[in-house]
Amino acid sequence: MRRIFTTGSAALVLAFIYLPLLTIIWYSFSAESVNSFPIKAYSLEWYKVMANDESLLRAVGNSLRVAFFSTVIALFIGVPATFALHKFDFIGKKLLERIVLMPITLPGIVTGVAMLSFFPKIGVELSLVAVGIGHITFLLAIVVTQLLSRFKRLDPNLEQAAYDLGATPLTTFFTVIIPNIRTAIIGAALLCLVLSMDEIPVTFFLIARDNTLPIEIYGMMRRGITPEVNAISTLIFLATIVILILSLRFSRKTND
Amino acid sequence: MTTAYSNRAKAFLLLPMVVWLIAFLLLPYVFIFAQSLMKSDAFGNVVVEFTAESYIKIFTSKLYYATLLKTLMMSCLVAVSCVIISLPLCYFIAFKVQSESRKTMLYTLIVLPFWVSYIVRAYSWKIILGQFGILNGFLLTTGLITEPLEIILYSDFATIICLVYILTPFVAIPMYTALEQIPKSLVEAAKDLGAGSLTTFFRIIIPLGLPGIISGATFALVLTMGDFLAPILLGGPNTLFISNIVQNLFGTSNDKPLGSAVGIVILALIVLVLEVSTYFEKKYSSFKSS
Amino acid sequence: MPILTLSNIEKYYGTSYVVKNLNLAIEQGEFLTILGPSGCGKTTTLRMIGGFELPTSGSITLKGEDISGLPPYKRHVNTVFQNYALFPNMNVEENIAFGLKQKKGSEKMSQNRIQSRVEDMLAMVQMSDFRKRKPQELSGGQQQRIAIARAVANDPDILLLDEPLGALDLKLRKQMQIELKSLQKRLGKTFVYVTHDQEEALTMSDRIAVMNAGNLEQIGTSNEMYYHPATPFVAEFIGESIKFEARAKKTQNDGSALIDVGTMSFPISGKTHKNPLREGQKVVVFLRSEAIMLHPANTNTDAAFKGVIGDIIFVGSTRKYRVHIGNEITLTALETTLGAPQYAVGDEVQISWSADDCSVFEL
Ligand SMILES: Nc1ncnc2c1ncn2[C@@H]1O[C@H](COP(=O)(O)OP(=O)(O)O)[C@@H](O)[C@H]1O
Ligand SMILES: [Mg+2]
Repeated sequence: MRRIFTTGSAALVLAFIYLPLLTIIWYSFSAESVNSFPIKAYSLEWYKVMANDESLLRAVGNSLRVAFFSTVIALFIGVPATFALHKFDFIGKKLLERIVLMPITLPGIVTGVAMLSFFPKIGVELSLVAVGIGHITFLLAIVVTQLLSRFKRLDPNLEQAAYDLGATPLTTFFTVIIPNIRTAIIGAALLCLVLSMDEIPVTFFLIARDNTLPIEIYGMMRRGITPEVNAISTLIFLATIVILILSLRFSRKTND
Repeated sequence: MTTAYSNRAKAFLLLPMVVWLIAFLLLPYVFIFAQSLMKSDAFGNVVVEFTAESYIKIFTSKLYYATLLKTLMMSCLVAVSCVIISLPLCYFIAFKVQSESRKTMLYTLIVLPFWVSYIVRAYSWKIILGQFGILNGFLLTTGLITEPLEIILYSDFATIICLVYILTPFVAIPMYTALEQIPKSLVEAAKDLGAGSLTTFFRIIIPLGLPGIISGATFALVLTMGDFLAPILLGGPNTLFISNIVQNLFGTSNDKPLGSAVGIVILALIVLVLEVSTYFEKKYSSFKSS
Repeated sequence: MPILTLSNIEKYYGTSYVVKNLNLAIEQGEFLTILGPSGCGKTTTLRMIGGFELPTSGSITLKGEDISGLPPYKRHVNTVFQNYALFPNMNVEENIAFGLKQKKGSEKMSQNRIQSRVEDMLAMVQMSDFRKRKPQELSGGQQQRIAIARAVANDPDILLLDEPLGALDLKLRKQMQIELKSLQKRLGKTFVYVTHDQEEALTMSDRIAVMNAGNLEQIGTSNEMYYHPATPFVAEFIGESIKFEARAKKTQNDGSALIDVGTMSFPISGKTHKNPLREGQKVVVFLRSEAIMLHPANTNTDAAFKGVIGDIIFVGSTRKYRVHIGNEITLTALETTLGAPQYAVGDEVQISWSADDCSVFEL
């Protein structure tokens, strides 16, 4: 009896988590122009509409570009700094660790309006570039948290062995340390891509005319419910799962 | 081995990020803090003149403090709901599922929605709660109602359900981690000493899982306090969170100093919540102190 | 009547068995130890008695009542867990009181009685001064005492202990062994104790049940185990023996015989084996290190063998000699360092043992 109760409530919660997502997928195959229940006819109509929606496709392109460049730059800045955070003690280290986490501990809207107010003052006009800068700033938090834990698990003897064999710190960093945390870096990169593709609160305030994908969808939803959103949401959902599986693969290898 | 690196090498590694964070994170925060102490003229331009006017307004004008209070209450409601929803599932996976591989699978199922786009997840509730949506359709076909209910979507209720839905994984992840860490032998010891399942749950599992539960609830609380999208997408005309006020003040109302001040107040509140929660997490953590 | 009986207990995980056809009767007030190598199914057996695992088949009766299907909280049995399992969110007092507070109905205890029982328990394990401490603030030995006090507080019919001293260092372990044994005597309670440490088992137990790979090999007193092992496994597991294969010759009606090893032979008495031996039968012989006596080469003895000291290991107050007899056999002999003559590597010695002092099994 009690067993049924616990199992049952666990199943209910899982249903609560997954039914809404399944609903979107289901409705994306509806042929109707409103999301009504029950669905009377099925088709791929809305996928076709989506494929021909110029501004949606542009938004996808924008999002991909922003995500790609933000991720690459966040890694270039973040990986060496994380290594330094792991390796050295210096004045203000604790403070730096707290500051870098601010964009994920503090609400996005405040970060968003702060950037919105400040960026034009230093000549960064609202644009996809501003969005990218905003994204890099919070992706740094992701890179640092993800890789710091990986560095902690890295055998310190590896590095010492490299020095012992005559390698300079720079050579060691690139030929011993980076290759050994490669999978963690790839995992963090995939994570950054997903988070950047989904980001709204900061993007919302830094965007000019060119929309990113979530902002475009937000606009479509504001204009009224169009089933086209079902189709694009389904694709986003599937893409997320693929990336997630990939990143799980990499993080698992890291643990080996 | 620190000696292997010259100061120049350290700077080379560290400096780009430090400069970046100062230029694009710290200075913007300092800037809106400064801006919150200024005021705006009739055209919405910021006038450089220091005054606490905006803060006074927040705490004297009903629109602001009442919304702030309402947001706080809503946040607590969302946090508590998330905890209530996550608890059975996390408990089930941590204590009732025996096989390790099935545990991992179920845990992955909880974590997965965490990565799915916010907007997509919010959108799903529009389909479910809409005028011709699944819920109404279902109620109509079962004959429980004769006219579609319009008030389900675009209401406080819809907003809360959506936030609970979106934030449940945030709560479930730390909660599960905490429950999973409780040695199974403690549960057996409780049963051995004559405690039934309920006593064991409330006297052993909940107290020991408390740090994880607090940390999850804090996530939900803080993220709801900073949310402005759910109220726009699913809320009714009167569903206004404090973050929506910030958004309006930086948009149509165009009073940036006041908007900044509200932002700073949210920030201060959140920092307070985080500090309090960290304090309690430490206080109730039984394992780390050993 | 035994207080606890396990009848035909089997435990399978999937298709592999962990405990096989186990029959065990435990008497009121005895200290019974389940001894066996790691992984042989001791913990599983104890957990079945405690109610944490259900046997695949067979029944468990406590005081004549079948408890096989009861959950742990309905059995009058308490456990001292392997790593103590003290509740970290409760202090010492609260831990001890936990079980008392769970009693319901006619057994329900008043606050005062709970308090006085806790006092008694604290006094029993001499931990009264630590009542307000959290378990994390106690040393391993102190946690151990609290775990015992907590389990005894409920006044169980049987106390189950799963390697309770395993986490303690050697010295503390020895001390706790004595304390536990005297506590058990004082309380007159039935203890079922699990360990893989034979020395611990031999010192503490009234009876020992030796398990191997899920089977009960032998049950008996320390003496019986030591001097009359029932199976080759027990002979090898208990004490330190050398083992060699040989042939029986000149078997007599009283059971005595001659054992042939290579070119040498020695007599055995009828006490060393259970079934009569046939002439020329292949046997396996176990010979304990403690039973072997060494004599200087020049003394006049009736010792059967001559050997050469190979090497010497000091083990506390004893010396362990490895002695080569010809090329065939290497023996280990244990001698106290005090009094006895001492030998050096390469010394020639004479070796003897009594005809009673080995165990012989048919091959
Ligand atoms: N839940 C389980 N599932 C499968 N095998 C188990 C399980 N629990 C124990 N075993 C196996 O049963 C055997 C006996 O375990 P255990 O009773 O703990 O041995 P002991 O306490 O004597 O060291 C071991 O080989 C162990 O791997
Ligand atoms: Mg064991």
